[in-house]
Amino acid sequence: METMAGNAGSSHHGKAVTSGNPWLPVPAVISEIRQETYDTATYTLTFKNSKVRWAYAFLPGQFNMLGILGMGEAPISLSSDPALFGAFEHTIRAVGNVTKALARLQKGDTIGIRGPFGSAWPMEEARDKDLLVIAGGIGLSPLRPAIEQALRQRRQYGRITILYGAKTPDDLVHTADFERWSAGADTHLHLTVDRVADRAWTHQLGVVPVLLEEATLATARTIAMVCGPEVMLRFAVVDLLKRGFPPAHIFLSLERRMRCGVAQCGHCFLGPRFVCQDGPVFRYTQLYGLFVEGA
Amino acid sequence: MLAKEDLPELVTVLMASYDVIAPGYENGSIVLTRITSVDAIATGYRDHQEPGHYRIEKVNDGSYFGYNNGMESPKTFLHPARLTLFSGQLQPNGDFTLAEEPGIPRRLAFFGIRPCDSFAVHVLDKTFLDNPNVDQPYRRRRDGSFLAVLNCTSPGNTCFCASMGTGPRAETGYDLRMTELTEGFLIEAGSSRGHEIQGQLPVRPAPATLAKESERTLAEAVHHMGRTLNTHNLPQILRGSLEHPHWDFMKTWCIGCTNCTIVCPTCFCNETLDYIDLKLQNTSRERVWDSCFAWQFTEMHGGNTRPDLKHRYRHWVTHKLSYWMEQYGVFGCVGCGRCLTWCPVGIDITEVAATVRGKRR
Repeated sequence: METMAGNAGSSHHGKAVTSGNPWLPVPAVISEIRQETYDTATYTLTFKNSKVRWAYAFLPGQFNMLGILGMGEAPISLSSDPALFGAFEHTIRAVGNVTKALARLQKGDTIGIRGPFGSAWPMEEARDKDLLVIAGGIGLSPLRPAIEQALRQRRQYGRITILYGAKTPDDLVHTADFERWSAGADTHLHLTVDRVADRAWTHQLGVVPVLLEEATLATARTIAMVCGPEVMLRFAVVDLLKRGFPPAHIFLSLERRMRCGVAQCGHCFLGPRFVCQDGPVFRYTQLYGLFVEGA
Repeated sequence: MLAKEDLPELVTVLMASYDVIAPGYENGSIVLTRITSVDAIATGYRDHQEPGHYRIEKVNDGSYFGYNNGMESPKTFLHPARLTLFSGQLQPNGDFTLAEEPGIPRRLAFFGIRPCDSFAVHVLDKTFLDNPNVDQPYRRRRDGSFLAVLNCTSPGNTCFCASMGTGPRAETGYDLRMTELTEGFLIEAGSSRGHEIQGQLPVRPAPATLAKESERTLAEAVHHMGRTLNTHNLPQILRGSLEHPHWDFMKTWCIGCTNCTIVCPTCFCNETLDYIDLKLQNTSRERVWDSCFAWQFTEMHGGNTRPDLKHRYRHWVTHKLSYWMEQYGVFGCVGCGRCLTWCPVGIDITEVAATVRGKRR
């Protein structure tokens, strides 16, 4: 029987930096809030304790448990460049109890953080290869650290292609980064939306995988990193495989209900995988036979 | 060996250094309980267990432990059903100070637990201790704990530990193991701390006949299990049977009550609950047992990943008998039989596994 696969992209094992007790949140202050859309904002956070602030480091693709005491916690991916020193960012869409409560907070308020947890995007493995980033909706946020790191180390990667789609133009996040993300040599950003109501839209219409039609890809030397709604992931994988992508070159970030972040509460199981610790970033081959209804 | 009348001596010696957890009798069943006197240990009872059935009677046949497992296992004490992870004070701006849960005042000794339960403790260790993020509440309870295991000479009708390789004799991971025989208890130490305790007892060398009787009784016990489970290739078979029609049938039988996961000695799933007073100042986070049979267990804003009882039942069985092996190198089932006995509709996991194996597509 196959052995339990390690983390997808790195040997980092999501050991909490915030405290020796991984259940114990530590306070972090909101130093900035940038509204991304009508229901989504990016929060810049700084740990109150200077020791934690400088010890804290994460890899692109990892997440924190964000909490408001008395309310609860939610797993949220980090969305900032890991090189940002002394601070980190989370992009949060207000859809649940905790995220709606987070949306009511203001600059200067404090929240509880545990982390970083989980696996990372395969930045090492992708070195000297082309990067294909496929994102749907707020699925772009967990990929933003990977994009920023690749652009910062631009010469270590080949072509960088970002395919991004959302329901409507009003649902696109990180739009302030788009110009920078498409400015460099051999760096391409393709956009699509499902529908447009009443504004000029010069990009594609349709679901994200339609962008694969217009992108120029060298499948054999490309690493694909995909994040978005699970139905989008399934279609994206099918399309990538059809285009001849080796299954081992496809990486997906999954979302599940989580309470602990440390493979001890059991909520996030996908078959034998702890999405919180073996994931959230998986090499597609780790998920063989598991994209079954209700698995 | 230890004479039958000297058994209380062992409990007394343990109580000098540990909080002793032992099987007691309460409200018509065997319960694991923190005992303060030797008299609290249940003796002279015989139980009868079948799927969905538990009855117990006093027999006074001269044996101490004629009964099998009650519904509780060491899990209740190592991974309590309700635990305060931390409590603290919250400021209006969200800032806070927290205090961790303190753990327990004295080390725990489990007396008279069966080999299946002793094995289950080591299975739980894999989840909470063999992890880059060690669970501190579990560690505080487990560190320095003592396992005085009672070998099973008369397994029950829902037992299948022999199939799972965890009993009827404790093979590893015990501090002291005991076998109740006609002449007395055969006592064997499995650790230095076990030897230390043994050294304080009025033991005498076991006559060759006693060792022989122990061998024979435990060998016979293997064949007296009420249930068997063929584990050959089972992880692979179950993993390849996610679309087996039996799961559709099982959802019409299972009522999703979560009893099986509550009584299971290795089921560890849990939920966290936040509490705060009306002044929004004093807060705590509690960890409570949860169950993959609860429909909210996998609920997210985008939908439920296991929306049907079919998926939830399949997940539990497949986790216990397949995924667990992949995750931890052991089965998540030790063959204790509790999930059969305490299932209100009498579902038998050994039958389910056999059906899926037999009619595999």
